Amino acid sequence: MIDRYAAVLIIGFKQQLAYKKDYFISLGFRIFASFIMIAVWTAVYLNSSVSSIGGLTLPQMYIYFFLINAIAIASWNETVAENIQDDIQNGTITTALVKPVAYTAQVFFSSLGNNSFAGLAVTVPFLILISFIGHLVLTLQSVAFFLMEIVLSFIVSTFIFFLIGTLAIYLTNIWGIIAVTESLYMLLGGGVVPLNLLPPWAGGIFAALPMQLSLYTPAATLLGIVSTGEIVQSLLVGVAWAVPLFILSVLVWSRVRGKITSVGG
Amino acid sequence: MENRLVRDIRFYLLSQYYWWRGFLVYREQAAMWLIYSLINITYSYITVAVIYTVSSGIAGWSYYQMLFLVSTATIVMNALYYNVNIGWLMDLLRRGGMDPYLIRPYGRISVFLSSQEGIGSAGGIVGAFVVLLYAASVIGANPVGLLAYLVLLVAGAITLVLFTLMLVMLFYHLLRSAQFVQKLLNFVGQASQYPLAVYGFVGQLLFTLVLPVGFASYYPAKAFLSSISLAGFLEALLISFAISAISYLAFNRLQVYYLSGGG
Repeated sequence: MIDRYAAVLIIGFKQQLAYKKDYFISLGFRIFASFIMIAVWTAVYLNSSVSSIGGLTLPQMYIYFFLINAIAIASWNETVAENIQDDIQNGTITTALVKPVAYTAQVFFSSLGNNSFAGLAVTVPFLILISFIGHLVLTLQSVAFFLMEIVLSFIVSTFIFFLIGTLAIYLTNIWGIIAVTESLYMLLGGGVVPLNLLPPWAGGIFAALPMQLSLYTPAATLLGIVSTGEIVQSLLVGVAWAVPLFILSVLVWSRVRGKITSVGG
Repeated sequence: MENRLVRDIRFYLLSQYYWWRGFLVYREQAAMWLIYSLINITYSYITVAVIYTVSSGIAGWSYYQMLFLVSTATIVMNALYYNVNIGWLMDLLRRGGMDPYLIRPYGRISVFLSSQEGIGSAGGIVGAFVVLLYAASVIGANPVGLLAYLVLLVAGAITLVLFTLMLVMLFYHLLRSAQFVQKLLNFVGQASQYPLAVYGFVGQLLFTLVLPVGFASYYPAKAFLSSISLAGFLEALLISFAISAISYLAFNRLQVYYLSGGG
């Protein structure tokens, strides 16, 4: 049984291997994108004549923007929604449903394979590079927390994007919804500005959302600018979202799977 | 005999009319793309708002001047994406999808711009325009600055569109992939939202002479804020025209590599 899931995971991994060039291009532009915010924040720090803003020194700000560009590749799972949409549009869902592996497991493990490749090809080398260049002081505890945050973020986002993917059964084309959700992940996750720079009311709202686990909290954990208590609180927020989203995903799938209309193929 | 330019413009506008009709058939998707476009433009406004809340900001630029620059850059980049949907265009080129377009009796630029759409970007243009008006009303405008702004903006936007078409044809010829061009333009678009001075001398050269986005956002904004001399204005305009001409010639040279019928 496990062999079947492993096979789906490996296929997802191999699909990404077919586009090695695209990944190297992505890697290059993620480094460049970090440089823009670094240049802007350098100008801000120089003009303000301060050593830290919101508890972040300029070097920490540099590392923050490098880190979030590395983490963003692997910490949320929009591939689930994209795969469901593709299966509906191409009609391949009919063959997927008769395979001896649950469809939900197929889309999950396939997306896990895709993201594992992204993580290994881009995120891990990027993180190692940043750790050396930025002289990050990593402890076993901070790395363990970081991994827990990424895994939890991936799980929560899988449920969110799975629910969005089921909308394809009714709407067929859900690119716009996927794009909006990804944008919200970037915005609410701290990809635009570190969340600790936001006003307290906004910071409070963002801290209660699962998106903070996808970028800000993991980056802040590696930078050592959040306490253990805050990290545990963020993880609990993630768990508090994961459980109801899982139940909702099961309920929604049991209701909509009978309404699938295959097109294409 | 009707003027060739008028015919091309009419063809372009008519294509837009039908693209819009097609876009609005899927109302939920249309609404989502417009929302997406609006959310995306908020990134830079939030960044600027946070910067000016927690610090003294960027030297030489007030908060409202920065809003004006960000809005100008956002309008230009969204106008570019509206006219050149890079992924779609590359797909047409790779699959031989340009065949039915290229047999039409119109100019190549007009045909390429009419063969695909990026209507989802319209939300970004409208949203940024509202902020632009707000920022301009606070800053205050003089007629000369406004005129110089519009001249440089239009010239810069045309340069950027021609440059992008040339890049798409170049990467179609070299790699058959739109990934690089799309990522490059996303990067350039983000960079164009901040004053060129923050990137240092190398950055200023990069975002003007190599990737001509500075002529479409930074220099027009400087003209509006009356912080550019007449010589600077003319220099920016001339270089913009020169890059447009080079891009147009290169595009015409590269488009012969299109393989009819795909493959």
